[in-house]
Amino acid sequence: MPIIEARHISKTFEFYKKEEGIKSSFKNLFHREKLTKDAVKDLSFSVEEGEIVGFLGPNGAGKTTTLKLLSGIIYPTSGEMRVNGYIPWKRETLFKKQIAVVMAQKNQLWWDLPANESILLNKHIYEIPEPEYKKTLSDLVEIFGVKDLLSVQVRRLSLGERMKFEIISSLIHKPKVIFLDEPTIGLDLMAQRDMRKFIKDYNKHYKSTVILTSHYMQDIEELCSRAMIINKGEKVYDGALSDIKRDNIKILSFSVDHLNFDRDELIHFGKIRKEEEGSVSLEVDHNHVRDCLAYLLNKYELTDFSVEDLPIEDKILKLYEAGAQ
Amino acid sequence: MLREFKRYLVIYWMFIKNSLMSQMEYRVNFIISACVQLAHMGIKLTYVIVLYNVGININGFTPDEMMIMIGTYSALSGVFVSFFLINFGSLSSHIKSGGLDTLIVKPISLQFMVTLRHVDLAFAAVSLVVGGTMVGIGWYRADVAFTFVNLIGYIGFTLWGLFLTYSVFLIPNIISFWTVSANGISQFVNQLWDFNNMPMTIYNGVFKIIGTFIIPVFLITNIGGLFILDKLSPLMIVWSIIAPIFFFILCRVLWNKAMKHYVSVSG
Repeated sequence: MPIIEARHISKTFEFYKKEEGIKSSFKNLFHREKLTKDAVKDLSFSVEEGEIVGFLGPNGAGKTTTLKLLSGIIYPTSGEMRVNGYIPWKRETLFKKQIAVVMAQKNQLWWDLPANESILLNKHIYEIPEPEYKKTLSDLVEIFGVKDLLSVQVRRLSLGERMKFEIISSLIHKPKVIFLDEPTIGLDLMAQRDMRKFIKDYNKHYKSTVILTSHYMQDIEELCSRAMIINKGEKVYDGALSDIKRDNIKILSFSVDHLNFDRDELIHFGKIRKEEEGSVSLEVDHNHVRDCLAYLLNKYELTDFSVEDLPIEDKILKLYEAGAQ
Repeated sequence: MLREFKRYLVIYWMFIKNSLMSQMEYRVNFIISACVQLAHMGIKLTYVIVLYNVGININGFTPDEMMIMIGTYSALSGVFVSFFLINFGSLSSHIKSGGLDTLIVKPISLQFMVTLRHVDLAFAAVSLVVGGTMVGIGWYRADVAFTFVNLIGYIGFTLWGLFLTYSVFLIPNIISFWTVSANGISQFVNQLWDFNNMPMTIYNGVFKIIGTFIIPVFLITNIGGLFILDKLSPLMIVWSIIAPIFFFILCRVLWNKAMKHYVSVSG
């Protein structure tokens, strides 16, 4: 049975138009033209226990809104949703004790105090028994390697260290479902790697379900077996990342000594991705790679050539574009 | 129920402890804050000094009795600012920044988390000490009987008034959930607090009715003092007991409605 089920969820936000200048501000004092934006449109999906699912999409696609709906922060305009059997926006205490939400751009730690004070506060909020609290805290600081920083004021920590404590503080009650909104944003490469390792180990150790949004493909590639691509509030892809990778487009790159390409002929095989002095990259359907290569070898004196997969970022961009259309 | 109450008390104690520790991180600011409140209390004392110098009664209140009323007002002003206003004022910015998102998911009353999380103890301590001393002196000089009933009545009504303060001053801030910014209305209501500077009996007519029944700011600092001075009518006693409960229920209903209206901010 899925731990998360969403059926035909929609969320519409209301806002009003504000044109440039003070004149329109005065006008708005008396009359506001109300507009609406469909942040999420008819979204349906389910997630099995223990899965790590990555939400991908451009800015404003509806990823964070979906996360907020799943965690009960906001109400939907229509649709049904269950997380571990609970309707999130009813905000029942038992539901809240089984989830954790980490938003990279929102801080929950007491800024002027060491992180252990905020974590201790959460112990009381989540009513964690003392021995269990000690064990979990010791495990989490161990995995992250931040034991020595527990008594350092949060304001003196680096962004990466702070983020680690945000996560520790949020996971101290061992939640069944974890919502992570951009957990690696702004972190350096090492901190990003540590964060990914932590999420992976945590999921493995506690069998928790993780829903993650990120702009970094590496996060999704390393962590998620399944990706859900959202664009303009709609789901445009839901499936294994490996299926996206198994796209039929190949990149055929070649170099020649002279510059006279017959562009019309090349376009016949596929889109020209890049054209620099003496070298060209073509996007070619895998069925036509052989023909294209034969044509090139026949027509030009190639000094170099290669056939590669289309980068995953490009494949996802194509999905965004397909969704937008 | 009792277990929940105990849990909330423990968490509230942690809020107070964390606030105090945070403030003590900035020693100079902590000391200056206490000094500023001390100076503020000095200004309040000048009212009393003027009253003693002039030596006249105001609407039946002797200078000693005025001292009790102003002392109560001064002590509660500090508590109001330190325990409540400091949090109420930031509600609007929590809504604007989406800061509520991280609090809403905690398995505890959001209203409790948002409205009681920070405390400015330096400010409160000075007010309580100076205000309490003024009440003590006034009580002694006015020859008010120091009986168990008077003591319990004064403390009880004053604490009950504080409970009323919470609801009356939070309600205007709850409007932020709809308007996002509610500075105008909350500033207006906050100004009403200063009407307690003088005993409510000096106000008359519609003004007194509004301040007692509609926006009952007069009930907050007056009732304890009026009780020990034997100037409280039975109707007022009953209303003083009912009003905090009524306004707290109203505040809860509004808060719950507001929470359904929360839309957070774009991610």
